[in-house]
Amino acid sequence: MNNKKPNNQKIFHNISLAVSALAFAVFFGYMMIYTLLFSRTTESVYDKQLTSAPEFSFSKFFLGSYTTELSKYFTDTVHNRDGFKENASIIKSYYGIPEEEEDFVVGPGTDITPPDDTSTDPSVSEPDTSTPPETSDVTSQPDVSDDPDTSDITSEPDVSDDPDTSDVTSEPDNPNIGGEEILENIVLLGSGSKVRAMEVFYHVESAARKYAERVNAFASKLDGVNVYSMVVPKQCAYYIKDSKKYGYTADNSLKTDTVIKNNLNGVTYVDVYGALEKHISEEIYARTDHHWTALGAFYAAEEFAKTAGVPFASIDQYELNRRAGYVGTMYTYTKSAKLLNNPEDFLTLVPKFQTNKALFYDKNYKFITEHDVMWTIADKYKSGWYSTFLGNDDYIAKISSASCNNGRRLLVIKDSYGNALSPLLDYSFEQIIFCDLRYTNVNIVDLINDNQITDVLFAICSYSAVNNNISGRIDTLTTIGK
Amino acid sequence: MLFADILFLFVFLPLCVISYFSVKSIRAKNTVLLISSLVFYAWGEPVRIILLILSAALNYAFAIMIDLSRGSKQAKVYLILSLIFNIGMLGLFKYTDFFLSNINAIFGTSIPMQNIALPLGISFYTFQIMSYVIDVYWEKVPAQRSLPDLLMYVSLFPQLVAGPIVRYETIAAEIKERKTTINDFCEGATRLIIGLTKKVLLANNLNLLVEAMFNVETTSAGTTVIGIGSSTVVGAWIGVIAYSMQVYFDFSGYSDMAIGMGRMFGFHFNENFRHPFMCRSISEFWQRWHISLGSFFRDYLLYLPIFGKRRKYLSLFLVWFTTGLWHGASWSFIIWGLYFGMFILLETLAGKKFLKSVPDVVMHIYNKIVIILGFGIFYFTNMTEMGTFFKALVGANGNDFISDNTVVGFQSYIWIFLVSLVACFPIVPAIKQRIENMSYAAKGASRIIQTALVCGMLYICVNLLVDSFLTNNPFLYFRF
Repeated sequence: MNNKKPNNQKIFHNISLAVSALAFAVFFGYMMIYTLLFSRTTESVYDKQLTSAPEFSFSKFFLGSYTTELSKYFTDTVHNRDGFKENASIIKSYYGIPEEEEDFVVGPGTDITPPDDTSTDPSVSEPDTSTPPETSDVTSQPDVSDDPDTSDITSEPDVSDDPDTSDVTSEPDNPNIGGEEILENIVLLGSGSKVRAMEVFYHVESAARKYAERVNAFASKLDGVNVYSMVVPKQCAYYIKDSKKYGYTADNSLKTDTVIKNNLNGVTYVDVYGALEKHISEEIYARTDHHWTALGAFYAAEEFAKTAGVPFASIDQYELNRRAGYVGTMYTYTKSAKLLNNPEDFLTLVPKFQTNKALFYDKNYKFITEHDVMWTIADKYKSGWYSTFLGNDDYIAKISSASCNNGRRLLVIKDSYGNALSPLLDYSFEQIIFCDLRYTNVNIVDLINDNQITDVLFAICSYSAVNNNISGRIDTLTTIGK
Repeated sequence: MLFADILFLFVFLPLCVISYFSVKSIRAKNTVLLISSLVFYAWGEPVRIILLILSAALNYAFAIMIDLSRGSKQAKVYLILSLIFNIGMLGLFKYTDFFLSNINAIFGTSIPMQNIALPLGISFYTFQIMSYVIDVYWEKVPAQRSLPDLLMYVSLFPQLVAGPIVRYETIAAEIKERKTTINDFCEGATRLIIGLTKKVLLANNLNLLVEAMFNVETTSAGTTVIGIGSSTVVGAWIGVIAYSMQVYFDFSGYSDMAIGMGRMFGFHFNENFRHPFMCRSISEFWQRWHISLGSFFRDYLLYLPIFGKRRKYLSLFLVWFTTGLWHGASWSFIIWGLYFGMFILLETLAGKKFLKSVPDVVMHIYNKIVIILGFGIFYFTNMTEMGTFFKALVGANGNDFISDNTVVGFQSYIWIFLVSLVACFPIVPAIKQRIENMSYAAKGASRIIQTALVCGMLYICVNLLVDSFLTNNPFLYFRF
């Protein structure tokens, strides 16, 4: 017996060695199959463009660039790449003690074009002197192309012009994950389920005034049509005051709003700033996304209906739906594990009253399909769930109300913020058309006349209003095709 | 090809291992390793692989001619020819521009720089092959009669690019005959993953801390700007301490991976690092740091009677001048080498007896300060920045003692910093020693736990590699 015991132990030792060797063989073997044979990632919710497979050429090979690019391609397009990146975010959150406040620089740092006339009008060439020196950062807000055909929204679903061959399903393949209205600095405040990411907004008086002038000029081209301006503040307007670094910017949104209000002429101001301010303790903005929520849009729509003198369905006539696990675009930009580990609910307000499906057109106003205003976005595109509203930014959507017959017809000229208004105005107008200020490629005056529009609402966020490239489109929309 | 790369770890290496173990004879196994090594090198240097092959072939011939003409003066001639070729090749590719810039500076000429790119691993494989030819001349080893086997030794991919500098005599027997046991395979794989973790988890993140402390920024044009002038005193100290550990984990991580992979194929390379920060003196530090380079200079340069009676000090100077120069064609590296040489000279003059009598605490404080400041010299290759760095350490730039940015930056990597600090201690060998004394059953259990742990570490590394593939730094010693 005594001789047997050591032998048994030796056997156990050998078994453990075999188990270890097997574990390594399985791990490396599985990873080899995983790397070589599993489908490659072709789209990522976090990066618009992944490394493409290099094309072989002898010159590239002899320079060593072909093999270098091949290594990058294999890593960048590994199966479930986004899953690895999310795990990495969690791992990195254990590197140190997380700060209560974190600052991220996410913008591309491209120069924004100043308003057209600033070079000739000294009165508007000077930024607001109340803005601290850092506010010159506003010049590095991202550039948004004037030309819809060359706009940078390449990741949107490819929708055929031909209705018969259109491939529109209820789930866009690759929803727009947003970002075109994103600012350069993002600050994260709070911790746990209270963490909130928000962009820093800088006030430039000349840019705000220029927006108002453009809307005024737009309104002057229309006879007998009511024009409204609803500039939605970014969430920093209400929540950034606790930031040590950026707290001083807290009143920038109000300053911009006030300049716009004071300079509107022939255009009705919609006090969305005040309407939202009354509800800052509610979920009016997403904590993890750069958009507002359905609830924020509801209070804004309510204020607009009051201003326009049209009926409006109360909150009781909607069902508030929650979709758990929402981690919006702010995670995409910051890769912060704080956001990833603290998802929120994505809110939708679904009318309890009868509604019709909307007609969807492409940006050239060619019919695509009939669909609910709300789309289903796949779980995997959780940073793009905001595309639930209207599916994507560049569709032109026409909604005929099933419950309103007041002779009022509304055109909403919007950016992505306006998308969330789409389920909320059925009760107020008998027809509503949504078109995106940035991408629509039809003459807007013709669109208004052809559809007997009585009311036009500009529903864009404050960044779009002060971004010259975006607000410059207000001028362009009336001249397309002329 | 980088070791810390998905394609290498999960495609190249497994394919190589499978091919290796699917053939039986040692000749076939060596052929697998040779082909794999050439593919590995050609992946990064498709053209300059010719240089590697040429170097191996010429030195193969020189060694055989030395062997054949043993006892005659011709042997010495062949040795000298071999040295001229090897040192000449290293000089041409590594030091041409350094030489020209010094000529221009001294004589006021304006000879254009040649901008010759440094072939990958040339400093390492040239030293390996020189050691082989010298050892043949000294009759320590017989000349290798098989060119493929010699080429395999020179190009063996685990240690080809960044060492350790494996002497031919270390693995000469294993080239002819070796066996890989399951134990070798498991130990090798474990060592490989530990090395990878040192690099990916510790060194790469310590680099981020260093950049935060030294205010390093990358411009939109891709160039790096070091804002050491605006570093706080505390920031400069934390930065240089973190950098010392970064270099250690980066280089020893690579050595671990090399030794581990060698073990998987049945080779037993010598250790290249033995917890250098545990040293009691600077001399001891260099007996624990990059051991293969230190022993190369000791064996092939220090004891050569080229300086006659004064050889002790002049050889010491030559060794440390060369050590610095080997690391890079720049005066900052030469200063770095001589800096350490100076302290070693002082320790030699002080004598072992005196050093023993100094309390441990004093010796540790002394050598850690010297070592850490030495890494400051190593980091700042620009002499002006180096000067600014030394001023920053004592607040002579008018810089603050500490700032919110320093606190926040350090806080963001504090666990990485502390884990790295702990990992500088010989904890793993201590645990291993304990396990060695245990029963077979306990050994078996601990092996399974260890395997689970290293697989977990590998999983962490894979996630980090995918996340940071574009910014993933190559190993620091690649540039040498």
